Amino acid sequence: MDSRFKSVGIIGAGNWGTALAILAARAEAHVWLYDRSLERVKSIQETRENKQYLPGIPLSQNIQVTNSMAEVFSNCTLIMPVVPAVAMRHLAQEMSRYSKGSHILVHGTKGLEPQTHLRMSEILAEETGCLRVGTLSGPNLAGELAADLPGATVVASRFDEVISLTTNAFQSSKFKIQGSSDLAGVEWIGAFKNILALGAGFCSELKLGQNATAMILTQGLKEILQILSVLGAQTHTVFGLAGFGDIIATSTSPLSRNFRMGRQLALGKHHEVAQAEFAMTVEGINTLQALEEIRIQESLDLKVIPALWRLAYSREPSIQILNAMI
Amino acid sequence: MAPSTNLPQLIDHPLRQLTLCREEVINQVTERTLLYSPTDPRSLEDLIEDAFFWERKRLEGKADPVRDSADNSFMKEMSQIYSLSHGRPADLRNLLEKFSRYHLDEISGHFDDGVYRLATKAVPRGFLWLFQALSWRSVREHFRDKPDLRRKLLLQGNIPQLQKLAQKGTVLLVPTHFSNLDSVLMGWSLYANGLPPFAYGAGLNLFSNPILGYFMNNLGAYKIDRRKKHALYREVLKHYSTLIIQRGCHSLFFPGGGRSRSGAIETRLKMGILGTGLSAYIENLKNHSNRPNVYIVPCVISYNFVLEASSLISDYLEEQGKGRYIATEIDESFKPKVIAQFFLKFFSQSAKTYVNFGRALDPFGHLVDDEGQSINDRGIPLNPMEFVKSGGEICHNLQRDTEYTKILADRILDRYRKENIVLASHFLAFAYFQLLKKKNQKLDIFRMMRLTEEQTRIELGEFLIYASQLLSQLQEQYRLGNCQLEPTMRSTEIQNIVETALRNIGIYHTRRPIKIIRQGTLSFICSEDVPLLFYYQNRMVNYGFQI
Repeated sequence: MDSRFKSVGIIGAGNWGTALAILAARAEAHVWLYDRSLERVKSIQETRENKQYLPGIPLSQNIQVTNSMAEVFSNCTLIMPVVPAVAMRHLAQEMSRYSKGSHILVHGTKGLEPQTHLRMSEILAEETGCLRVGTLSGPNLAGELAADLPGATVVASRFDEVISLTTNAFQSSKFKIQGSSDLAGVEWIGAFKNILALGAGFCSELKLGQNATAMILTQGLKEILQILSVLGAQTHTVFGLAGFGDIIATSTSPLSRNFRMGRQLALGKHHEVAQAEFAMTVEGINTLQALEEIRIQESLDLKVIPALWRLAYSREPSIQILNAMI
Repeated sequence: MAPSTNLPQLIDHPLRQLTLCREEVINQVTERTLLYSPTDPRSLEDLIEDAFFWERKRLEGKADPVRDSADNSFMKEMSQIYSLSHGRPADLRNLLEKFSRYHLDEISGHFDDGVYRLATKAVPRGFLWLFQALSWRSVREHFRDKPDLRRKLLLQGNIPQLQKLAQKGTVLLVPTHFSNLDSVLMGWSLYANGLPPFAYGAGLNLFSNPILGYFMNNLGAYKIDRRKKHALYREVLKHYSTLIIQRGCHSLFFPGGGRSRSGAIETRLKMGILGTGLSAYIENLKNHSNRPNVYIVPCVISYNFVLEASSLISDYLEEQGKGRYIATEIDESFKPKVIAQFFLKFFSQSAKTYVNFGRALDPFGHLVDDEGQSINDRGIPLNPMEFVKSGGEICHNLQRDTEYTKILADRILDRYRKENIVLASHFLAFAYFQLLKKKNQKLDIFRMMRLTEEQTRIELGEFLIYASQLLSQLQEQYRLGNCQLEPTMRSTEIQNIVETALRNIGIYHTRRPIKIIRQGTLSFICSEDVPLLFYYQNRMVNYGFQI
């Protein structure tokens, strides 16, 4: 058997990429963690800590930090790009210089490409030519998992060997993996649930209480189901770990970036201003744009999604947004 | 273009070698079937009992007394052996071997270079003998010169690529399927392009026709009995196809299965034989073959009129409608007089038939350049061997390979849409039917089929405005590379397009799917046969055009 079988290459040392590296290392995989910033790579190598994105969590010795993509691709079969959705295509183009058909690409990004609305696995397949692609998605708050709290995730792919290789690399006593063949469904719900977290943060900032929050989130979920149905997804995926599980985690946790963004938007800030205050991309904003475009294209009569879109993009007063939702 | 295949070279041709080594081929396929069959007795029993179940069910129907008589005797014999086996693994495997050999005896093709010589000379000029059903005088009245197939059957597309790839590896040609004449047209098209004979995967029903059957039996066609539903038969067929591809036999089969009954381009493909290209490729790599590559070439046939259109659409509507549509048409496509009349019109009218050879794909659906190199969507070269490595080793992996074949199928369907040459007749039928549908929104499709000629009348001026809008959409899609257009269709003169279409659409049929009539100062477009109109308009349904 190929010695790279239990090796994982993670592309992108943001907070989720670093957390994944830590999880794989705990499962005794040999990990290559790549970042394009030589400065960040050197800092992590020296301090064995990602001070910018996951401070206080040490990186074990079986995590090799590198600035060389060639090194990652030559040492690993399983490669995990974990970058903002807007950056995935550019990264995939760079990866195509090193990738081969034998590589297995499992991304950890929840979002859609702006304008094209393509899923991340579609971009990876298009740019690299690799066919064995998948996604890892679920109720996975990076800080909690990095701090060794228990959790679970879903690995979705149409290929069983993608699921088994990823499970082998990550599964441990505290981090459980579920497999799913519904790659498209898991990617869509992973992206769409972010807007519900935005809505939850909005409700929280306005101190609307649990009843209103539940009402708005339920309506939002119903609208997401309508859109998924139009897209041809398997709707049962919505009620699994990658759908409902993730919605609970991100919509109820103050740690969630999208939740925090919702709070900022409720204060009247434009999304660009609010985004600047976050060190990391808030995918829900871009996903809202995609959902709104799909809504218009399919002539769907929805309430929560267009209201949230106006909240992010039009600077309407929060009270008007709230009235539109309820 | 002059065919350059020299008959003496056929002696060494893989297809002829298959015939010479028939027993060896049957032995190899049988061995392979046994190798890949389950090893535990219970699963073996399930496989054999599945064969008994489906064959008994089929034979109770008594559809083909001659052939079924042999099958009946065989099944009786196998039943007796099975009842005595008491689940002993050796006996079960012996049964499996007998089943395999029996099926292979039927499946295996035969190639005779004398018949090939006859066929290649006979087809382009030999339709005259079919006209014996008509008076010679009427034939002479229509023709001054001998009918020239090359002026009627236009071969287009990536022919140089196909010719090159046939030298570099093994080609699987996968055409769309509308008519029983497709086999003949494809055979001649390959010959006209200087390509060697291909093995054909042909439905068993074609072999029962005295004309077609003679050629099919001697030109390397192998038989696919679609009535046989059991898993073992499908496995034997797949292993046969894999082996012949491995042995370098270029192959042709219709991945949609049977003829399109609705008239639409295929939207779903059958995976079984399609996946044998990949299986053969993996075997070639494992055996270090010096010509391992397998290329899949989609091909789209565009007819202005389809011989069997009436009976096909009738079957389709009956199947869809259940009791709401009663089929009245009988498929007469094999009667010599019918074929003769068809070809008389084919040669005497202006309508052309197009055969468009699409861009080649590798077994994973990637495009292939003219040198046979796989490339991704960005044109970056790929090594296809890497896709069949798992754990660093080249291997078969049933689940993985099944998914690869599904991806390939999606890419073939995409190429069908893009390589389809939209004819003026298809466009006219689509535009007219869509407008008719708009004007009859309260009617479902089955009620629409019963519209009288009078009820189908639309004022021509109104229709032309609608059709012009649709034409703009179509031409935009052509510019984006999402379809092809015949030369007339690239004009913006809607009147010219309609006139060309009217000359060509369904001219074989007694009842015209579309015609123009005058009433006073006004002209109207109408239909004498709405099901036929529906058949021809379906060619364009999957492009998503609408006003």
